[in-house]
Amino acid sequence: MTTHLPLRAAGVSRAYDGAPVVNQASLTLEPGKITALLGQSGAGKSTLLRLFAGLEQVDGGEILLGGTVLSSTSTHVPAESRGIGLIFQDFALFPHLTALDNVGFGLKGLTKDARRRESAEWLERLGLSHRAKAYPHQLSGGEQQRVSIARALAAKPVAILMDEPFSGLDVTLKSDVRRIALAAVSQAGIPALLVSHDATEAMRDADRIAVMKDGVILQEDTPEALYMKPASLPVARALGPIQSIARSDMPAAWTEGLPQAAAYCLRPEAIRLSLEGGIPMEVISAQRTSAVIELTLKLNGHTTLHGIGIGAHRPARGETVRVALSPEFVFTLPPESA
Amino acid sequence: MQQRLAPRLPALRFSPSALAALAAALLIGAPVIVALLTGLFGGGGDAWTHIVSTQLAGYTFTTLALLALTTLFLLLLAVPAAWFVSLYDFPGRGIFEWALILPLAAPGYVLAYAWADIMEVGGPVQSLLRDITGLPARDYWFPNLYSVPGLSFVMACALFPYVYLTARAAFSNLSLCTIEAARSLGASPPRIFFNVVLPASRPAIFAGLALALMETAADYGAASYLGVQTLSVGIFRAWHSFSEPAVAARLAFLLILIAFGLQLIERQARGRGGVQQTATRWRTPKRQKLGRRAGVLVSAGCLAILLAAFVFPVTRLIWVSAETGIGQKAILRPFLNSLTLASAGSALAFMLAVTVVIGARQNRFGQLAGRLAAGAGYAAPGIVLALGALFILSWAGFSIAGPAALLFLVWIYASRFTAAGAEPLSAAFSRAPTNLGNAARSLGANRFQRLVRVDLPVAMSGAAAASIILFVEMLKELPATLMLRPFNWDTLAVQAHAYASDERLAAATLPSLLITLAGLGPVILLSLQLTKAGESRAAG
Repeated sequence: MTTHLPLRAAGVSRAYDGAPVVNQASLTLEPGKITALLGQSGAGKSTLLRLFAGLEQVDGGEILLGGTVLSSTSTHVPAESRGIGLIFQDFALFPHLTALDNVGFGLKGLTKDARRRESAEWLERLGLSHRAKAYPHQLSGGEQQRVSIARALAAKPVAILMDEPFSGLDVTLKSDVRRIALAAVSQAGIPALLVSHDATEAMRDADRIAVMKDGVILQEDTPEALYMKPASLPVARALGPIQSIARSDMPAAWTEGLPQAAAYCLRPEAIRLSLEGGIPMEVISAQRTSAVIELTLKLNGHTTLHGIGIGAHRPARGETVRVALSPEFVFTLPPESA
Repeated sequence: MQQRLAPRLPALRFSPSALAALAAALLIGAPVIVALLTGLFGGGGDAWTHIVSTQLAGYTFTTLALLALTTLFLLLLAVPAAWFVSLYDFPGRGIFEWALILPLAAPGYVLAYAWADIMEVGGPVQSLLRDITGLPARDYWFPNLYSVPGLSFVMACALFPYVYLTARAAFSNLSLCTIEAARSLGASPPRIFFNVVLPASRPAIFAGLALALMETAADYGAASYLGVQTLSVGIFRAWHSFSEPAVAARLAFLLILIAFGLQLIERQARGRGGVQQTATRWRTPKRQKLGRRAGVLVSAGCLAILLAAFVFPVTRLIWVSAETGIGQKAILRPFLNSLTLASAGSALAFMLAVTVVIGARQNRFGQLAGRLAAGAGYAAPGIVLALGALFILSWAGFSIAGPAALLFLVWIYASRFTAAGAEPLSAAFSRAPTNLGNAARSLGANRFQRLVRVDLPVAMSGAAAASIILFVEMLKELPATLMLRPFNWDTLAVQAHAYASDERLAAATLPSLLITLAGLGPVILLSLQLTKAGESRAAG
């Protein structure tokens, strides 16, 4: 088995018309790992992907494969010479080629038969042998995306970059396509980047997540670490809902065990319905959203808190419930402006 | 999406494709540029002073009046028809939906011959009128087709499908939610039409209208046959009868100004229409069934339009042709000439269109040059382009009599129609995913491989439509052919025109019918495409 090299961005920057879109971003994509690049639209995720791919030139910094410089201010290996696979949201299948020929597009140095055989194998691996002769417009969205993944992987890329690959798909299709596709990507053992604006998707699919905002990578770690130990409020927000509460607004019993701070950031899971003990609060609203009940609570008649409950009983509006704090979901973070 | 990515294309890189696009742009744009420059700086001498004092105002006023009246006719014919066909159900709607496109097949001059014959003193209408009333020929008033209103009527009949099609597309794209919202706010149907529907559809209607008016201004065949002194007729006469090419160029300059103005309106209107169509949430309105009396009325209206614009004139031509049987033998040579010329012209225009469209894909410079040139060529009337070619011919020292004239004619055809051929080709790209080029790059395809393996095959999916459109447009072309063809070398259009001008209408019918028949091909293709588009939208 060939050894795969990490793909690395070292302090890369890119500006459009003077406005920085990617600002000194550093990120290492490890072989065999899927790294998600998470952020809102306009955060610079897709531009960073294009810089990795060589579709755009860097204004500063370097893109490296192992020790080889692919992009810098003085060198630029063109996209077609990088051997980096790309997966697009719109699938970008060649409309004039069948599924099989799409997959065979990037295979080089093979006889026609060998190329067809290899393409067919890839289609089979992604569960699409029966659709080999179909043209893109005859395929469903999920099938098209699997063909595009087969096409990218068949070319034996040194890395694979996926730009919102599943956001064009029907929700019911999504999980199946994602499972098959990402399994194939993982098996290839190459560095993989998954650009996404959906925190749930990123946490479920990726081995590591880099959170990007305004062209800057704020933090990069495992999904678990990012969720439980965010370094800043924007990172905490990027991974899930968060509420800020002044220490003075919290019950004294809760603040005792917490580190000294003027305010705390809480995930909804920090505040939960409790059967024994806990602080009494008034229920403002209680909505069941499949697994959990989302609660809006009022403490002492003025502080509004968001929490969750698990169980069969959904408290009624105005009901007084007892609520406990899980301190592991409470963070002390620097204020947003920092 | 495409627009957002466009500014990231390299601005000025002289790649082979950019150079090819530049060369194509020069080839397409040269005649109109030469005509423009000659018009501006060529000087007109005494003849021009004479024209200015005698005929210029007349030509200009007639052309503007023609455009104004045609606008009125076009709107009256096309907008209500499109409105009822797209939003209501009435007897025969399914047939009218596509049949109202048929008039596109017949060029304006063919309709002019046919209608002139129908309306003349000895023609079927007046004969019937006299039979019924018993009045002698001079004792009653009858509309005169040989007039500005008559020409407007003929041009509106020939060109209203442009407006009908764009209006229909706009009406079917209307968000039902908007109409329902207006209804829920208490708006009456007329108020909905005038305050909600029309403002939303105006860009599309303007776009179709501007196209139709460009064709009206460019028309030479119908206007000269009906004796209406438009700028086009003036240009031809200045060049042909008075041998004053410099004067012709000055008049051409005026005509180009009008045509470019109309094209500008069309572009602007289309731009705004594009914004309107990208609305994310809309449902195609479900057609409402009209009451019996209203249904019959609307049906009768649509039928009247169809009869006037297509059925009557074409039937009359067939009738006359069958009755007299003149010209059947003499038709072979012009027929072959037309085929040869249209094939050669289509081939050149097709190659230029591919070059321009692909150049535009790869390079912003190519995009700009190609679009400008193709737009200019398309907006410029054939008569103006032919004039430009004549100037180039005379500078280069070629004789117009020799076979070189044919080459120039092929070139002028290409210059005029490359834009029309480029449209289906770029449409093929706009249907394709935006990231095709990047996908190919990521799979290791270099610039040349991308051209051969991706761009060309994708463009070719629009090739059939492009070739048919080009071929038929060239088959219909009259003024440029008239000016540039070698002596005694007639095409169908030229022969039809020559016979009709000599008052030998019977002989003109067969070539006219052949041109119309050929035109039916792309019209049916267009109709099929539109139906398919409608179906796929309904499915999606």
